[in-house]
Amino acid sequence: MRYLLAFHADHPDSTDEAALSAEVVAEMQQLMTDFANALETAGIMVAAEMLAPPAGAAAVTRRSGATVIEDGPFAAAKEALAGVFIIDAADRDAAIAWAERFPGASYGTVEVRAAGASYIDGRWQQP
Amino acid sequence: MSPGPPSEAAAAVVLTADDWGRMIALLCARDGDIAGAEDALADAVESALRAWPASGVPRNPRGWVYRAALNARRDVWRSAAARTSVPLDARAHDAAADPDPALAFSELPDARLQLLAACADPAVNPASRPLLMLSTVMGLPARRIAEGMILPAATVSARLTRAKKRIRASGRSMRIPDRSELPERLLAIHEGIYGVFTVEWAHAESDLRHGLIAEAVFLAELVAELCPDDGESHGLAALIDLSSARFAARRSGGDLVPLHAQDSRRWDSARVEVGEEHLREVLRCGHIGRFGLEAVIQALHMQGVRTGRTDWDALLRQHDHLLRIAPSLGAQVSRAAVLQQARGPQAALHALDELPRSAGAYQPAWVVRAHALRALGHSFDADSALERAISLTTVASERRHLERERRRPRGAQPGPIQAEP
Repeated sequence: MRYLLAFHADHPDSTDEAALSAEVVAEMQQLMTDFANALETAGIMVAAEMLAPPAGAAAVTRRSGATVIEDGPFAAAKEALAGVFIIDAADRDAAIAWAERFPGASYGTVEVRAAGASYIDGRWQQP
Repeated sequence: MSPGPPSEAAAAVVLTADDWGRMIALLCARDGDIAGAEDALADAVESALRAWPASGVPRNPRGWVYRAALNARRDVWRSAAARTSVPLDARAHDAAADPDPALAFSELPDARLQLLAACADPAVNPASRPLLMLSTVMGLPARRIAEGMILPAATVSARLTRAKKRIRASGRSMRIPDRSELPERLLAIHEGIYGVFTVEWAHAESDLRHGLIAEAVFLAELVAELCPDDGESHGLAALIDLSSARFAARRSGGDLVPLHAQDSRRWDSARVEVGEEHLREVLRCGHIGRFGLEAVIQALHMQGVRTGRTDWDALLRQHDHLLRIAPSLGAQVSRAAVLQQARGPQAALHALDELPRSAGAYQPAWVVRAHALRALGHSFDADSALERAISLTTVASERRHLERERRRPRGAQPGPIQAEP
């Protein structure tokens, strides 16, 4: 069944971002590539997205009747959503085993959530 | 002294891991400031590289570098004393750290046990201890540590900085732990070194961990040398030697080869010999701990592979002993695998059934269960156990190995298995 691995981490602000050396960035990219390749090889990768900084985000709601679009950045908790992986794991234990291997887990948190319903092949499916 | 070419100076000044740790241990003995000691030593090496091409390499190059670093530390201590007028702790300052310039560096005391103890200080996060040992005791750059431990370099640097600050703040670290606390601290030192050895997650495809094996061997040999009468220090060295001796034989064309299918001619025989020598030292010391027992278990398995006859009863006894002194899920599962050979698959299944609930997410337990079920002829259940083991396996070569096993014809007997560290 499908699981969401939601990666939360301190989002480096723009000054930190500049301070991250090219070497550090390249290294992290390599670790992420290895992780994604391992998911692919295991045949359980559905999707993987690492997110752009939340400053460019927008929040959309019609809660009050009219459409309200709010531009980011949003004053949020210390850790923000930084990446989402969807994997097709056998069960919760297997999903957790993969979350343990997430390279960013050494400085952030990986939330493991089971899908309640998945839209696959043109229809909603219960796991 | 005669002026030499710069390359000669550079070669002479490159400190070995041995030199680095010994110098750091002395340079930080006074105030526990490991970061300050490291900066001073790095600066001293740099000034040597600048000065020696013109002045020639001194007769005692290591003494020169050490002296330069010590002088830099002294300047810091003096200005600190002038600023605060609080008397420095002269007790902690070993007079031997103030060498006669003519004295060969090798004649200075070896304070690395204090340094190892500081790295294993209770104030330091256990996960940071292996990093700290590699950095301060061996002088390994953060980038190499990051590669070897499969961590982002920024994470390694941050953890090292935090750990060094904590040691400095704790203030109690830079002395030889006294008799009452040495056993406990040694345990933490051993676990830290073992942490260098067991990096679990390997890079996706080429998951041969050649990363930090040599460093783990170095540190284990060091602590055995510094504590020659501590059985468990020899036990750890034996375990790391015997396990690392088999590394080349563990893979064949990218595929995993379990211990009992390995070609013992591919083992590193020199390393096996060193490991066996440490096992004899364990016996001489007269006490054996968790690592020593694990080494004995490795030695028994390896002897079985070499001679074609494994003493499963002896292995069972050693596992029982291990579980009494250091109970762990890993050891319980490993014992169940031995039990299958010594007492039959039904006994193995019984042992697995008695495992705690947490074993449900423990991959090796499902592999051993699959083998026992298959030996009993329950092919369907065996396959679903194997299926579950595969779902919990994140290392590609291990998955391939288990998938091959699943495709094995029904009724075929897999060989005994042994969890690799």
